[in-house]
Amino acid sequence: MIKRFSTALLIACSVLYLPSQFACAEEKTETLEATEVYDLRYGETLFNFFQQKYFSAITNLMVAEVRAPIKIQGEDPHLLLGGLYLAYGMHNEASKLFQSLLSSESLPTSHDRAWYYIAKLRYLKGYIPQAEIALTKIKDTLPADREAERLHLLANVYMKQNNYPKAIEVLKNFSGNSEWEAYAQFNLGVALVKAGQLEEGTELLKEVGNLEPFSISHELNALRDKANLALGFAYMRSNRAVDAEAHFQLVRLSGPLSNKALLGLGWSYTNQQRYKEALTPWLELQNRKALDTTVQESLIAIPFTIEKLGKPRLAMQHYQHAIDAYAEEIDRLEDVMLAVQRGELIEAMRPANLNDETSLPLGNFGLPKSVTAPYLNQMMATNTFQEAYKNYQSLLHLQYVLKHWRTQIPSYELILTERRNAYFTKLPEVASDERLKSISRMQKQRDDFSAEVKRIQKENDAFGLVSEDEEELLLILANVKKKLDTLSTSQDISEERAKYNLLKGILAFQLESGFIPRLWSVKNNLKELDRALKKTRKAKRSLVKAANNAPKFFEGYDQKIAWSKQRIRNLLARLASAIGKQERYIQKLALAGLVKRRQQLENYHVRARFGIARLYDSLIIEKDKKGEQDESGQGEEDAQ
Amino acid sequence: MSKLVPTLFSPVFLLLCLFIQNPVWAAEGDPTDQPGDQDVVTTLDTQIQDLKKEILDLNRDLFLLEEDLLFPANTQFAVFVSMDVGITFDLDSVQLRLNNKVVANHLYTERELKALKRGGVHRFYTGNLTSGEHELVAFFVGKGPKNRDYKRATTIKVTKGTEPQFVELKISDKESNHQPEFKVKVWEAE
Repeated sequence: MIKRFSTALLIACSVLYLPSQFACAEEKTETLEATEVYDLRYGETLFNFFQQKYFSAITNLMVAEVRAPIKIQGEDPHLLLGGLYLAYGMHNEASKLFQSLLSSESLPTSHDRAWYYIAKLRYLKGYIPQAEIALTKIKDTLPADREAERLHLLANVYMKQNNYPKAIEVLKNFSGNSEWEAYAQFNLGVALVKAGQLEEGTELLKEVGNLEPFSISHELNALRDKANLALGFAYMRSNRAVDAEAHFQLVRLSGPLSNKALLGLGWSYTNQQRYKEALTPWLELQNRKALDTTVQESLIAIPFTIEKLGKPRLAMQHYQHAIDAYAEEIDRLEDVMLAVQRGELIEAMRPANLNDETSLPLGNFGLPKSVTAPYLNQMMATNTFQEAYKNYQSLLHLQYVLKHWRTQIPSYELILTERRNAYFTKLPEVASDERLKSISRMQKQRDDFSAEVKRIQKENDAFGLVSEDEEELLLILANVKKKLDTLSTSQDISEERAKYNLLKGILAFQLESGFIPRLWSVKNNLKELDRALKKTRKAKRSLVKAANNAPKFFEGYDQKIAWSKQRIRNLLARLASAIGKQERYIQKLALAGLVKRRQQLENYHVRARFGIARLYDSLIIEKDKKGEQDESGQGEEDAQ
Repeated sequence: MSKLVPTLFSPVFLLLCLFIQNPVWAAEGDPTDQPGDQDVVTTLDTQIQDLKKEILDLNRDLFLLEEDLLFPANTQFAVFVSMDVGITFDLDSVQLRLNNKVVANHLYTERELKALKRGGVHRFYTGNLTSGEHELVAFFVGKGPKNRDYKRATTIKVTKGTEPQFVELKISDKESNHQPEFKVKVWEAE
């Protein structure tokens, strides 16, 4: 049987990834556990939610709320809706919903979950003391994993307030081998180092950095790299290059942080005056394709180290190589900036299928060459850009939705017109149908029959139930009697009369003996007639009801449609404006990132030029000195 | 020598140390760090949130309107597909025949299958049915145990009344013989 777990809380992890603080949440993978569904509409919502179709999932819950609220899933639908609002970037709505859940008489579990969400929301908005209050309101109903997540958040809250002793205290409350604990330890370690408490901070970081790489998850391995890198730079800052070297070497060579580690390793060797060794990681960096900042820095770090090795001419060659590389990159960067200004980035970001409401991670679409640059990719990976992109995608999808409804409206209007026409055409036909009027006449006839049957029964009138054949026989007998009466005055007809009496007696006997079954049969027929009449009356009532209800299928909708059309028009105009603003914002973000990179490259460029000039000067000075020495030597020789 | 590094290459060194100054979680080179920009971003974000809310409300209203017009309550009939674990059967597609007429086909994507396995319920078909008895046949196509091609049909007779009717086709694993099982449940409208 499927296992029950809280969907709402799952969202908490998957959607509220707290961009600025949590090293972990975006790396947390989804859990493939099933939710027990008691209501099809809830299941339908989940089907959309699990596909990240938040807009559809929210619509499912909103429609259910109007038709018949989902009750048998407990509080989950509300929490789910709140979580969906969050996932869809509607923080304000989510906040309102959770607040209302807290003020309702809901279960303690729902309260705890609502507080949990509120805490995260407050944290996101930077209301740190308020987030702390919300976190402390949570009692003990959160599942173990979520509780660990709560502690992690609480530790971050204390760190934000520079309350490190409290944050350290929180670490003690973790139970089991929670990944959240490792993340909390890491964040706290970094915070302490940042606050100047190097010893305490590095102790915590070491615990994470010394995790056994082969026995931990991919996420923890990534965290282990981050811890070692952080330790390396912390030691570098404290001029403890030997310690730094040890930690840089612990970073995986194939991981995403390896470039930074290689750069740091080079600097740690340089700091120990092991210049030759410093060249190894830096030259390795140069072999790497991605032209990121670390590679660029290595370009200028290499000649610096070669100079230290006493090879100024080789250093000059490397400086020249760096100058060329920077110049080339600056040119390339400027081309990219121009392409971004021309709107090529925005063009590339427009999803091919606007109907697909699932937000594709940025980078899943192919950027044209004109706007392809490692710098741009790095900038696109920032949370700010990702959020802007998600919003842009949502706006385009909303525009698609509204345009779709706009095309649908005429068909609804047509349906209504057809229904109205059908009603007004059919109504007079039905009203004038004679068959409907004959029902009351038929009822009267039935009542007459019933009264006659009652009389026959009361009077035991067997002759009242004669068949057509018998009625004919009675008529014949009556004629025979009439003739016998006429003939009896002139001749003897006693024999004929006796025959007549016999026949009459036989008929009377047949009628009398068949009276009861015949009466029963007649009564049955009458009952059948009653049933048929009842059915007819019901059909008539239904017809009348249908005729009366028919206007409901077209009345009132005109106003709704007119109002909807107006809303669509208005919202489309506002959307167009918002899309324009968002496009400009994205372009601005991209350009700002590129400008920053350009400045950085220009800075490297200037430094490389300075380096080459400085070396050149020193070589000239050296040459001059040598020349002077040679001259003075020559003078001495001449004097001799 | 140790002093040379920060002196000569202070920007480089500072950049290196940025890592520790701004821990790993910090977005590298985040361009929206100017206070003025932040206000603009917040306003735009609020505008977008408001738009989303208004469009969601409108979408709900239009959804209800469409349902009222196309699938009135007295004739509305819907079929859903759900999955309970789904270890013994890898679903590919479902076909639905109503009174011997094909009314719906659906080929499931990986993403949809994942959603089904996690408890999602797929609204497979929505239509109209008159009151009375109807025959519904669902064909499930996929891979069964030992990765063999598998096709199964489930037939059900439904009696449609004047209230909306929902039928759930549930694929589940039969533990006793490690075979998939196809159950049908008729949900009564509230």
